[in-house]
Amino acid sequence: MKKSDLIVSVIMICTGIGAMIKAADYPAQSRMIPYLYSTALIIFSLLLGLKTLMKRGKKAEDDITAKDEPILRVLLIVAMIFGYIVSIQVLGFYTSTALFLLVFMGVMRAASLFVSLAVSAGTSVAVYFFFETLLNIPVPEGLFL
Amino acid sequence: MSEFLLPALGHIIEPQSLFILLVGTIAGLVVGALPGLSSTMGVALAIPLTFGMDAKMGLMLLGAVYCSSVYGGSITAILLRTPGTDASIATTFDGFPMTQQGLAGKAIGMSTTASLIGGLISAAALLFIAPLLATLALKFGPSEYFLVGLFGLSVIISVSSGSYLKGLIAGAFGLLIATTGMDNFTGYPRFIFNNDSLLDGIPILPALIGLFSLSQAIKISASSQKTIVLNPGDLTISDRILPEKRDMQRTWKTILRSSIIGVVIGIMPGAGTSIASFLSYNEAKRTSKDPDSFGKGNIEGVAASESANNAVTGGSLIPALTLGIPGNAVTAVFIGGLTIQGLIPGPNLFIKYGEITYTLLLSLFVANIMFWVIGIAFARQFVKIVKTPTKILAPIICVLSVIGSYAIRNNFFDVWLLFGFGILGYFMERYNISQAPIVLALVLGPMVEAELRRSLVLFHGSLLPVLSRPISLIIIILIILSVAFPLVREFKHKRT
Repeated sequence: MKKSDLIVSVIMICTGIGAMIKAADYPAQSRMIPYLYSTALIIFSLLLGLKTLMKRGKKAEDDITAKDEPILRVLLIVAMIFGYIVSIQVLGFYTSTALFLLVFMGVMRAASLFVSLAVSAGTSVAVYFFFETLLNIPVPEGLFL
Repeated sequence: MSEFLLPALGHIIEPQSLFILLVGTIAGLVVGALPGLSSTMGVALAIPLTFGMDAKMGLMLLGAVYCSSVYGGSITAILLRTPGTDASIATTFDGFPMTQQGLAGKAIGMSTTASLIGGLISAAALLFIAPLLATLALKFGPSEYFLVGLFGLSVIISVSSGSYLKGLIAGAFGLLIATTGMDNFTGYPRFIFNNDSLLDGIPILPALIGLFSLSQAIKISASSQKTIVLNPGDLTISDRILPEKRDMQRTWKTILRSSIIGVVIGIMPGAGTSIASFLSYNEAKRTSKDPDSFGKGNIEGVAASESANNAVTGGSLIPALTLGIPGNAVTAVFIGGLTIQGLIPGPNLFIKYGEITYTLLLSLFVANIMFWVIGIAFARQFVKIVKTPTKILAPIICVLSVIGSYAIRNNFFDVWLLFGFGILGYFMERYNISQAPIVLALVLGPMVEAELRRSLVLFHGSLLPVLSRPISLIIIILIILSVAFPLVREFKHKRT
């Protein structure tokens, strides 16, 4: 039995039920399609849950991904990206980007301090040149640069 | 068609266009050659660059990235037995044994040339077949478009091979979130949670970039591998790369047959590059006088796989441009790139926006020639990119994903959407759920809903009159075949 399949099944059943409850307030015409899709989501998720439960007792295959990508490291990376997005609105895009690259490469021990500094400064300059100057694509603004 | 061809040709030979094609080709080669970075991700990351360009330039860039990334996958497939993209899995069968025999240059030369021929044949097919299909699409009413949308959604079955239930769950979830935003028929806002940024629905590009790019950045940085390929070692190509005349004489029939297979498979929604290369490889082996040499370094194996997967590129764009059906994830992203430029797939692309569309179609020929020239000239240098440290590449992908998502509407909410879809995409991949059904559902969901409701109004609340329309019946048969084909294939596979 794969525990992850059971978790997916439960989350999706809850999502389907939640969507149905939310759509119940909509006019009949507007809720028809969300009802249809929610029902399909609940049925498919129930089937997955039942299929997984029927395999209870059988040993699941080894999860290679879980070994190669420890969940704590994944959460750390997600947290760094979250911090980067929050900091853009405070510090501005270029300051945050340079800091993010530096911190990310430092935490991940990607390269020496000199290389990390060069990559973070180089990326920020390249983004400014290509996106803002050459292609006129705006970047998010914050309090600083 | 002819009135658009000359102006289109004029646009392509402008220095600026050639530069854009060159940039797209090199970017596609890099993305394709790096295992873990897919063609879909390459096209998704290139879309933000197109915002500041005019429509012709933007689409040329996306076309060039698409074509060359499919070819790029063969480089690591041949040298390291690690295909850069799933399109090149079959290339490893004979490409890697050739490398072990000291014939890496010969294998790369053949893969580059076969990819060129496959790509050119598919570009020609796109140029001639797409306008015909677009003319037919003019006869479509709401019910036909509804069925065409369902046909596109039927692809979910084939892209979920191995776990149909998970694919269907992802598809239903994608369809559900595609209903977000103001209902166009009643004006009632659905699932917006008091957030005005969601009134127009879930913006497709932050979702795509999150699912395919940010999720990969998380994956490669979480992995313990220091470089994208394990133990890249000292990769070198020592023999001649340009194919010899006798090799071309030996393989031309295989290349031609595989290219045709690739175009046909490309047109069929859901089949994709890997299926085309496997089918062509099997066909080359079946018709060979020496089938036992396949898998041991037969150059025909490389030619078959690579011509077929590049022939899919043009083929897959035929239903995407004419009917708005993305046959795979990369064409779904491509449709996203079209809509950013204000272009809606359908007959109008070939009538009202003919000059832009034909510029794209002709540019695919140039892009194919460019990757051949670059591939032959710089293959020895390209092998070095597999040594790029993942922990440097990953944060740069994050930065590009953030800019790309923000630039679409200059709305920071889209960056948060990117973040959400990035996490969703990562955990989907971690738990073996394909991201493609969500993308297909997000692209096709609004069309399916709108056309279904229009049809119900037209036929007074019943869909039965649809069965009396010949075009509808043909599409219904295609839907049944599209659902049945992968199921039968898997059933047969399990039995053997």
